[in-house]
Amino acid sequence: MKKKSGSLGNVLKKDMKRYWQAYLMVLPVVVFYLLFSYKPMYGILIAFKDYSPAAGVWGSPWVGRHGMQNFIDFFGSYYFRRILKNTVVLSLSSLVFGFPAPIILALLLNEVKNERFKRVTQTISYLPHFISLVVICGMIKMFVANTGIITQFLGLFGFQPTNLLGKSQYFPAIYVLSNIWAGMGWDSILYLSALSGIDQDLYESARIDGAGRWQQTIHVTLPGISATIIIMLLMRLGSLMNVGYEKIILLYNEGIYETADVISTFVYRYGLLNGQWGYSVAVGLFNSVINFIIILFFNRLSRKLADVSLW
Amino acid sequence: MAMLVAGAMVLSAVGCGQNADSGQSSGGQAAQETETQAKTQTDTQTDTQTEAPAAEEAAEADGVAYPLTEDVTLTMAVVANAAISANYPDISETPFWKAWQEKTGVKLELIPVQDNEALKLLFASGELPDIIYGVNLSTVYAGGPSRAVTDQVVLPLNDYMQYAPDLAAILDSNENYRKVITTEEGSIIGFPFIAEDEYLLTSQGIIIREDWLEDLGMEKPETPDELYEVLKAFKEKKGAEIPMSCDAWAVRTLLEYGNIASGFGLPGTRLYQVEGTVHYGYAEPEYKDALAYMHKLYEEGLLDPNFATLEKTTLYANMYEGRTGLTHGAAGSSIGTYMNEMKQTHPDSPFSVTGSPTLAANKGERGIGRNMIYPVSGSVTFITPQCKNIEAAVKFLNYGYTQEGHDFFNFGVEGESYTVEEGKRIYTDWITSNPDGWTMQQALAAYTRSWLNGPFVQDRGYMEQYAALPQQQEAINTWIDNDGDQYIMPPVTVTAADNAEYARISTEISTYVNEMQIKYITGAESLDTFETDYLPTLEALGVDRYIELTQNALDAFNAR
Repeated sequence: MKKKSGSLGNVLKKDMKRYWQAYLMVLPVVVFYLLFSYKPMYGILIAFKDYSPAAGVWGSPWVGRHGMQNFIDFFGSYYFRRILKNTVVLSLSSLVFGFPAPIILALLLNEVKNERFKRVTQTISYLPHFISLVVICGMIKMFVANTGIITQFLGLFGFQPTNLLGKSQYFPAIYVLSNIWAGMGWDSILYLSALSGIDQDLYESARIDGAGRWQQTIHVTLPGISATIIIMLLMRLGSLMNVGYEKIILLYNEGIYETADVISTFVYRYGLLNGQWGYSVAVGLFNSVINFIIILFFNRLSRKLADVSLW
Repeated sequence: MAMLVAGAMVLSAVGCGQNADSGQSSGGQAAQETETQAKTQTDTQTDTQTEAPAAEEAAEADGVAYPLTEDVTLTMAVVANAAISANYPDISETPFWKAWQEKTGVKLELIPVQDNEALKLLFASGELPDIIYGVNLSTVYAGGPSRAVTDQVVLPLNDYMQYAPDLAAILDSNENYRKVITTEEGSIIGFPFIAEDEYLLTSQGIIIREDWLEDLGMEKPETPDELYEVLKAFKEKKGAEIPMSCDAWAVRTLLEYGNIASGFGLPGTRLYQVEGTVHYGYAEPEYKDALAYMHKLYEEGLLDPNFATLEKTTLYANMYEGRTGLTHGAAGSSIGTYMNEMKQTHPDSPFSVTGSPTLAANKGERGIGRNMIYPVSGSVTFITPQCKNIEAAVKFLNYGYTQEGHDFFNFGVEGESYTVEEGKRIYTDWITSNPDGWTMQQALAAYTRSWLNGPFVQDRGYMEQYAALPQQQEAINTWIDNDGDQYIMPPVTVTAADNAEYARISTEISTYVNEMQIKYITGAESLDTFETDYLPTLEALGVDRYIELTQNALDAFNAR
């Protein structure tokens, strides 16, 4: 064991000497991650502390119950179940409905033979991506107000016009659908480029074998981009519990916390608005740990089943 | 270069120490040591140094003499305000901040802070400027003033009061002033913003279209039933689609400060006191009646159906386009804005809004709610323990409490922003009708701080001229014509020991009550659950402990 790691060191040394230019090029990236991703992790300590800026991270006193007071408070909180449930509901429904949407759009666009129509559709579908989130959310609020265009449209089907963002039961749908609307076009670009990489000979041979367009899609196109899909899925799963809090903060109001308040917005309110730093870091850490477990699990699963993985 | 600056700062600290309290032994010795160091750098000093002794003598004779003669640079964090940033992207370009430096002889390095959240991050960073301007520690610092002192964010002024003789004189004039800026542990936390006149303490309330009332031959509503009738008339006879337009904050404020809740015998849903006993309106039985009433308004389309998500711009549009006849707002920024906008865009419109009284349970009774601040708001300008030249900072901040400083903070620079006529300070036309089309608040923001807060005593003359329209003056007089002032809580502070618990409970409770308020009003939750669900949950969240801790703080405040 020891011998092996020693030899690894030697190999590394030799390698560095030989390709020092490459190592030099990667250095800024390594430094970036060390500085901005690893060094701040030190701050996680305040989840176990009663943080006082004057005393600093290390000097602040530990909280009670062996430093676990913040976690105990959180798990015992009136809001714990609710924000956990909302986080899971919103992220899972975003995943289930939101993840396939750009793939389907890409597949559809791929089948369109009229170049002009395809270009126009593509441009229109990814336009919302370039609009600031604040503006997007302002638009959503207007659309779903009691006199908004969406509410009025629903009114044609006998729906009582009311402010949709004022009723908690509609929030998940508004959140997920608007996510799809705003993100689908942009996300589909990646799949479209993967699609263009598929060998055209495969289609030809499929046609010779008598495959129709549907069968070509199932047996040639989908397998052709499956690696891309799985990698994207894994990356998405890694941030499963990170529901886009900026958007929720812009959309929600106190009346619909019941379905709209998630872990990240809770952390935002407690940490930034109320200055309860230790507590909010504890909650955020809990969130990250769950994320980490999820990605470990799915990475292993995907390696086993599909032989594709992040590492 | 840095060495030179540091040297100059040491020197200035020394000069200051000598002039204000030459008798202190240890300070004097340290001063002598540094003085020899400083002598080697005399070439860096300007000729102000030679004039210093004369000024110092004057300072000892009667308070602090301005401008200070030493060469001082202080860093100060200022929370940005839209009224300033609209016209001055760089806050240090503002005439006010320039003039303050000229008048006191202190150089300021201003550190603009985007908002209260950014300020909290500044606290968390542990690297503080010398001074932080005009903030309410109870709201911006988790744990409040006591904790801010123990966390070494705030420097207690107890040992430095001799350098702020003018502030000391004002604190001596009213025992409540000193109480507010003193923590449970006895630390004086900073330089308060004081409004002595009752007229200055209330600036918000119900706002109503008085021209509509006149057309309809109706009086201003004084009871919940009358308010209901008025709203109905607005809707039916005036074509107002949304007779009462308010955002969630305004709805909450109408209940918290009792403008509407008072009609149900509740001074407000916030914390209030009845002769020294603390109550929490959100947990009182009368709150249910107020909620039922608000729900009725909502159900019948009298209260804005979008109030939970309403933006200010929509509210303004509702007002200008005659969709709304009643809202909540301030005399200056709301009534003033509405009136001016309508005068410019619809000069012929009879549009007129003014204040409407706090509701009373029965006709002829006096209301018991008032949207009032305590004469000494919790807002203080304070010095941090990281300040290197405390004496100079104290003297600098004392300026606002001198007669000259009083005029400056309230009215700005004589000849530019105000003139003196028959002993009265009158804002110039540049302020009241700005040639560049700035609102009066924006113009005031350029020269004064009377419109916001700061280390000084606010002058009634400001409000009289700021809210100069008859509608505005009528509004303020209407809003203060009730007994609501008896129930106002002073800004009490909880002890550092209880603070973590207090902060946790109060956030959990306020999240809950705000959420439930919207649900009850919109009907998402039936009011039948008020006793079976709502009150028990409040209890589970620790409302009794919340009231108890506040009671302790109030008792301590009264005993101070």
